[in-house]
Amino acid sequence: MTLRIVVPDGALRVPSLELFAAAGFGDDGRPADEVRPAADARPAADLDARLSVVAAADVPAYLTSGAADAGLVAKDALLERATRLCELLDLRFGAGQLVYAVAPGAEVRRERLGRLRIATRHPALTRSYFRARGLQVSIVPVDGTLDRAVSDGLADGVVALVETTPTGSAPAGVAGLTVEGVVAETSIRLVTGRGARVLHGAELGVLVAGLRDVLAGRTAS
Amino acid sequence: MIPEGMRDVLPAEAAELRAIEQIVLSRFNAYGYGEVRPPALEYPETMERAGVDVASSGFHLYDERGRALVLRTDLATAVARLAAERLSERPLPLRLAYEGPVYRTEATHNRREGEFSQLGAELLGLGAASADAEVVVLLCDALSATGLRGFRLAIGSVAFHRELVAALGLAPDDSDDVFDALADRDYALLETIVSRRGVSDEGRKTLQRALDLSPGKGALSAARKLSSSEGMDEVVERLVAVQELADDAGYGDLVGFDFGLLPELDYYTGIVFEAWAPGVDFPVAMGGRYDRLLAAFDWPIPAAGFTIDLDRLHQALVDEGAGVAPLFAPTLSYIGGLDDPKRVGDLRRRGIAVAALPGDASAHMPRLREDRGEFLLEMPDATTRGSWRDVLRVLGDG
Repeated sequence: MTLRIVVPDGALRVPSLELFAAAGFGDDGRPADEVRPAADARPAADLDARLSVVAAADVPAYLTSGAADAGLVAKDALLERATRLCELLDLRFGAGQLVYAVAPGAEVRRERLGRLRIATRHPALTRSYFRARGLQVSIVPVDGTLDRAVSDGLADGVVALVETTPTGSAPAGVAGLTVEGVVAETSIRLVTGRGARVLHGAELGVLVAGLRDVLAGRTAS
Repeated sequence: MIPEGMRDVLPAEAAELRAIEQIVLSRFNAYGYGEVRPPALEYPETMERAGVDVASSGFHLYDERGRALVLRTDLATAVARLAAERLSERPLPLRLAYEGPVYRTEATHNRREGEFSQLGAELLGLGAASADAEVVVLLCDALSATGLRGFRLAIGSVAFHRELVAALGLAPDDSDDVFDALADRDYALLETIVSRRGVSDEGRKTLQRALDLSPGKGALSAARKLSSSEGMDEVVERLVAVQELADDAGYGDLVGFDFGLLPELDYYTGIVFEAWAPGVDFPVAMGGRYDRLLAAFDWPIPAAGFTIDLDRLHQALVDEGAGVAPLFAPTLSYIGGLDDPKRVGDLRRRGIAVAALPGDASAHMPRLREDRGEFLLEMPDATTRGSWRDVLRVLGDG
């Protein structure tokens, strides 16, 4: 049976497809949502698999429902949704940190009002992060730009995803804010559903071995 | 209007569900499992004894004296309670089967249904690998009997990880994290634990390989190589024995081993398994060995069993395009039959299901009505016009 692999659309689409291309998936003229292993490529060529590109936020649903057998999901999205999906491999791109950062003057506000307003796209992770530290915050779920939520007065701080940067430099995305802590580390993971693990264990093993070879090559070079 | 999480089942679906139940229960019967029917209401303490978090997962109500009750959240626990209270004088082993709905609130349960039906079997009083194998074989047999073809059974053992963690000398807190990491294949989490606890390089490699054990036929021999203690050897040898017995019973091709299989409920003590079919979001069935469950009801005997999720099984059959042979013949609509009890009775005595209708009613095929002194029998594939005797002959042939 064909292994159905879903790849996220958007910023992750190109690096994802590049990784699969390096593992032997060629597009040989076919549209990008119908990519199969190139006939002469190794090692994934032994694998009967098909890639298709879907909205990034939909990948977990494809895997949970069994509509796809493997997919690429960011670790922060896995944690946020608390899905019972199985990670197979850390693909080491799309790396970043989910950081907690506050606006200047937030401390005064906390003293006087008791709790801070935290804007985030990760309400569940934010809730558990502050609960574990015994801090009470009010969470402001937003879809737009997070630092703008602070400058516009919607929130006093953010829990925001930032690209991993060398220590010392202020990460983009939380400009003008003070980073107080790291909520979670993230990178793109190869993920499968619980059912696909059982039904396609052998094929997934071949896929993981192929991708792991590519990653090892990248580290070595 | 019905409450959130509840649903109505209409005749077409109900007929298929009934047929599946009948097939599964008849396979249970073929292995000597007798049906028991525990009540829908239990005391919360009963469910809690099995480690079920009823406070958040149960529907709660109170009796007339204000005593807390809960709608049963699973049947295996209710059956364990029943066995310990009512059957502890019987000679062992005991083989029990059950069927019926259970109720869970949505909040803690990441599936949509608040009510769903379970079919299950319990083998009480036997602790050997051959007893593990019997429940595995019975599950394969029952699922196959329903017509399901694409399913696979993943078998693991919680004892393997317990022994692994013990061999590494990790603290209880860390071992919980290791179990989580193994269940989710979370390499990053595992690295964190290993570096925090100063696990030896050898231990780190063992854990890494345990995580890499890919499910399937090769997993057992890989696990054997990984084994670093007598306890781990025993666990692997036991699974090998289960595999051989399943092979002998003819179900070897349906089972594979997966050491990443770690169920949420921590009442399992040995073998654990899940049956999966393509396109379903939950296991069609799950089970294993839970030697401490009966002890929770003051009857310390070993136990193994499984639960089939009736709705998931039905969904898998539909997805697979498998037909479910109905238990009952399709109903013949007899227009005018309400005023003709004699002929209706005649048909029913011949085993034909008849819906009797008033003379001016309309109905879908197959249908029968009197028309200008003759009878008109319309079936999807043929129409017959003739005497009552002709009608009986055609229906008799069908």
